[in-house]
Amino acid sequence: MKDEELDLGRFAEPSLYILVSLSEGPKHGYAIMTDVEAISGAPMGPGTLYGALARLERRGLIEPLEAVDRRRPYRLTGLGEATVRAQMERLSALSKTGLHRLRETSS
Amino acid sequence: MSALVRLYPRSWRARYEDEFLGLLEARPPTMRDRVDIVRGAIDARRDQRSPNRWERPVWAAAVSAIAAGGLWIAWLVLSVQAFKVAEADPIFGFGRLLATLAGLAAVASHLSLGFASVGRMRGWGGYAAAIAAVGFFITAIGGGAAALFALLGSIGLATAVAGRTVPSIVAVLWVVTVVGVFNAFAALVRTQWTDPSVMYQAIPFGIVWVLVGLTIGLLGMPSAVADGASTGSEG
Repeated sequence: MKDEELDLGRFAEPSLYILVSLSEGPKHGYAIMTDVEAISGAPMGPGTLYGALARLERRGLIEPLEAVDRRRPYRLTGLGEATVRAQMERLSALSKTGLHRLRETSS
Repeated sequence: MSALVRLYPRSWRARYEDEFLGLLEARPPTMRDRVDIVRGAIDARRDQRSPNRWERPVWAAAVSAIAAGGLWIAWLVLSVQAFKVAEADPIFGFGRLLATLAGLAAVASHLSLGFASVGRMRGWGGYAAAIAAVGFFITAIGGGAAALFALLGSIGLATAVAGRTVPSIVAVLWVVTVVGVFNAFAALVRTQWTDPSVMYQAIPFGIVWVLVGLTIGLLGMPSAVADGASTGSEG
């Protein structure tokens, strides 16, 4: 998994939150917004949400489902699931390294 | 609210408008959200690859490339005419005006092609376009020697575009006509600037630009370039 696969400019961080949100199942835009807000602690604007959704869809990381009452759910594709898994493992390794070094510094 | 959504490109609205408006009904936007929507619309317009690549409008790139070719030819023709008129009135005459307009036309042509392609060139082609535009602008306001500097930028732009936004056969034609541009300048120097009509040898370069625009308009961008998923890159 190459890092550049999430090279989405200012949409990189919102995209990662969206992928994490969709990793528990399909969600429509409003559900993604509220979930991301709960995860990150910060609201995600509608322009940012749909800018990121469009890029993720174009890259084949997510796919739209049938719309119901103007609400269209999205779900992870196989590529999207592999991407979010790789990103989480990379962040986890980074987190472990950072915490380990902080412990070494403080001891 | 729909006024804000109309800021988005038509192709984006065709795909996302309905669900986007549904979202805004479910969660009425705050002032911060409205700013975010405007910013999103700007991003969508800057993003040459629209949300649906199969609906991606290519007309902007095609028209700008055709305009670039036309302006390139206009620049050559006007420059030759400026040479002739300037002999009679070298400072304030019509020739000077023609030379200025020609230089500005060259600036516009390079910028238009640069903007059409910059998203697909990962930086350096855009810089080359900017160098060419600055060079031609300096030429337009009287710095004739800047034309060579401008040409280097123009060659850089052509090289960056070649093979990335046009079919390979057009790219080959492009490279061949670049040689024609150098030949034209060399011929101008050989005639000690007494026969500017030799610059007409550079016209095929403009014709190829028009051809680039036509191929983009008829065939669209090559899928390997347009499809970020298949290349693993984002412009």
